[in-house]
Amino acid sequence: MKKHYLILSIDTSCDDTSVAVTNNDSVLSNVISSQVEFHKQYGGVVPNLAKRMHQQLADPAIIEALKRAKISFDKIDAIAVTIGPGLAPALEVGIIRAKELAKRFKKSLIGVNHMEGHLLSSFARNSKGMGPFSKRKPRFPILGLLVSGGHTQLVLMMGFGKYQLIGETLDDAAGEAFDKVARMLDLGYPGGPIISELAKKGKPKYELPVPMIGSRGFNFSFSGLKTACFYKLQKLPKPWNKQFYCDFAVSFEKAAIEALMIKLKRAIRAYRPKQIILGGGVINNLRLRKEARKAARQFNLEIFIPYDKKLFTDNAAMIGVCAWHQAQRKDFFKNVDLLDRKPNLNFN
Amino acid sequence: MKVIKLKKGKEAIKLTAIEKAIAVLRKGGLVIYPTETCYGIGGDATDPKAVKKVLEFKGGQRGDPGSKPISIAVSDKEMAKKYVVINKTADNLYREFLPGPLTVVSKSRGRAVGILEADKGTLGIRIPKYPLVVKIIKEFGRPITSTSANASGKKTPYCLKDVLKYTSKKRLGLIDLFLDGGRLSFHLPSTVVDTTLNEPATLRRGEIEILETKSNSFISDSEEKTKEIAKKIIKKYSKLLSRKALIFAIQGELGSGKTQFAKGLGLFLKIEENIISPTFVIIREYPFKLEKKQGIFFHLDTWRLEKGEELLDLGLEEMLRPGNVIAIEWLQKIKPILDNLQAQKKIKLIWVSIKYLTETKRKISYNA
Repeated sequence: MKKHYLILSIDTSCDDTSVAVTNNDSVLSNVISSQVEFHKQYGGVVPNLAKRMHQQLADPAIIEALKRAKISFDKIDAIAVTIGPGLAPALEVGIIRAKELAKRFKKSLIGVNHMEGHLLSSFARNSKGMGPFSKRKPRFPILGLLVSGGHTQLVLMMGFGKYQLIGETLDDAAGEAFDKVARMLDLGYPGGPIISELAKKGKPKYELPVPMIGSRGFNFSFSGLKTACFYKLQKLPKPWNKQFYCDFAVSFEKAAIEALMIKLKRAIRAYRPKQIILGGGVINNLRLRKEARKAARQFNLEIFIPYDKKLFTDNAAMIGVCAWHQAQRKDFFKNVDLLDRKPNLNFN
Repeated sequence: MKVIKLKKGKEAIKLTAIEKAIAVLRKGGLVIYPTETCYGIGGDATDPKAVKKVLEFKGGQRGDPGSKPISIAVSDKEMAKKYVVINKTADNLYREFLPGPLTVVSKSRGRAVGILEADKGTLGIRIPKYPLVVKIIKEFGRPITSTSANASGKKTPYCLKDVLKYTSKKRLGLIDLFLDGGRLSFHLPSTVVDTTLNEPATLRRGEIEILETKSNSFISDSEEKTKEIAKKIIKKYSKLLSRKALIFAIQGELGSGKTQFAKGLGLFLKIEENIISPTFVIIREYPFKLEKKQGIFFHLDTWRLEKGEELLDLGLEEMLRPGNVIAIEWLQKIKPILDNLQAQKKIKLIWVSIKYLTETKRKISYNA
């Protein structure tokens, strides 16, 4: 394999159109359509329809990613694209574009599992080769906790390409519970980040049940907590003042994160990992990172999070990093036409 | 604040009152007027300045978390049609109860001042059973705000004295005219009914009681039971799958168990995958095989969509192939689309409503 393997990766799994250029596991550029710098340029004219938005933004994002990476397209060795999980019509847009590029310019094509991308996001390095794993070596098994708007998973990693899903949500994802409770408080959408912000100034005065505290296994459930919040709020007389919002936000946040930590610790005890990695948009939440670090310390484990916040939420750089590991094990799509979307793709 | 006493029978006074009220409304002023419930405060519902004054009078800012939308009063259904979309459910209520103490909530056409609408773009319409007020609105030619003439949290006013006693000077300064109809007999505020859902949903109970449409219903006291009920309902319609697509339109509050219901549908279809909330990805799809026939179970959630039309862009029509099952959560946004499709496509639409009874009990009703 070449010493410098350049990949152009595309992710259109849900809301964002994202394109990145990576050199091995180093991120040279990571363009995300909703990010301010990009949005300003193209956002004004973008239709509010998910599929059409991807169609309209894909090419500008590709051009922008190459420009920021200062790489010309002919230097690219492979095209990588997210094939799932995600919103099928949105995934399709990225896949069609990736296939066209691979065929027309005779590039290798790599199909990537979006969640494997999140899992490997801590292995990404910056353009100077620095990242969480630049001074530490991965020591397997590694336990990954992935928390986002669409997913909540515990994954055991025995090596690159060797994964075992050990737990996931049975109903709502953790990030979704944040958004929905925010909605009950009339905080708008997406309300998850607002809850996290309000929670900083609150006291956990309200008792809410920690979901699945007594359940066996490693699965999560957040719908019960959502219902409990609904009822609690009905009993608390309006008008609510500012302090109330903060107090309720932190009460909810505490219960939700405790639920994550209980299962994380249970999985640590059962599977004895050597390291922990975190991924997904909800790791933007400070309390989650703090509690996860505490849990890791308790078991004397190293814990890693991606070097850049842009790697937490949906992005194509993590797809590129994952694709590089796939390329090393020759995981290409030989017959480009066979590559198809897999909206329900999972580990295992 | 000028006061005009509306003595019974004196036509001349009534004519002056109408004239004066319209003059005030035209220049963006506020009028306090009698209705069959209590005194209301009226400003031109299409004039942002007038509406701002109404909000100032009510206090507790609209736009604050938890604040309430404000209804508008119209002269008749014709005027209402210009401001909201009147569907069949609403039309029935207009015919049966209006004019009268009922506020009918429909989808707004966005022609009244936006802040009067609820967050989901709905607007409450009322036709007061008070001929003089209806006449004013008719001649004015535009709707006026319809909200009780008291500041938030203060006593509902039934006479001039109530208003003077419980309103601050500053607030009274916002009012140009008081149409004094004497002491009104005590009636509860109007019943408020949302008609944008499967079946009329009472948001506030007044003296009119809207009975739910007849439908079959079950009581569930657990997630397991909710799944069982879903299985029972889909079983009833499963024979139709050979020539139709089945759509389950599921209505219910956050946390009422809509996803649990969808899990039950999945169990009946022998889908082994874990069916999880589609909120984030909007659409999840699960292939299934039932009695040797293949189909796809689509689980949709429109909660994050800005417009229902987005679902068409996401391939809704292709999903509606005979043999497929579609469960849609938060269908308000796409109800008009579904109504249209129902007329032209081979689909069977089943409306499901899940209501909270207590923290652990739900009433699940369906009708097709």
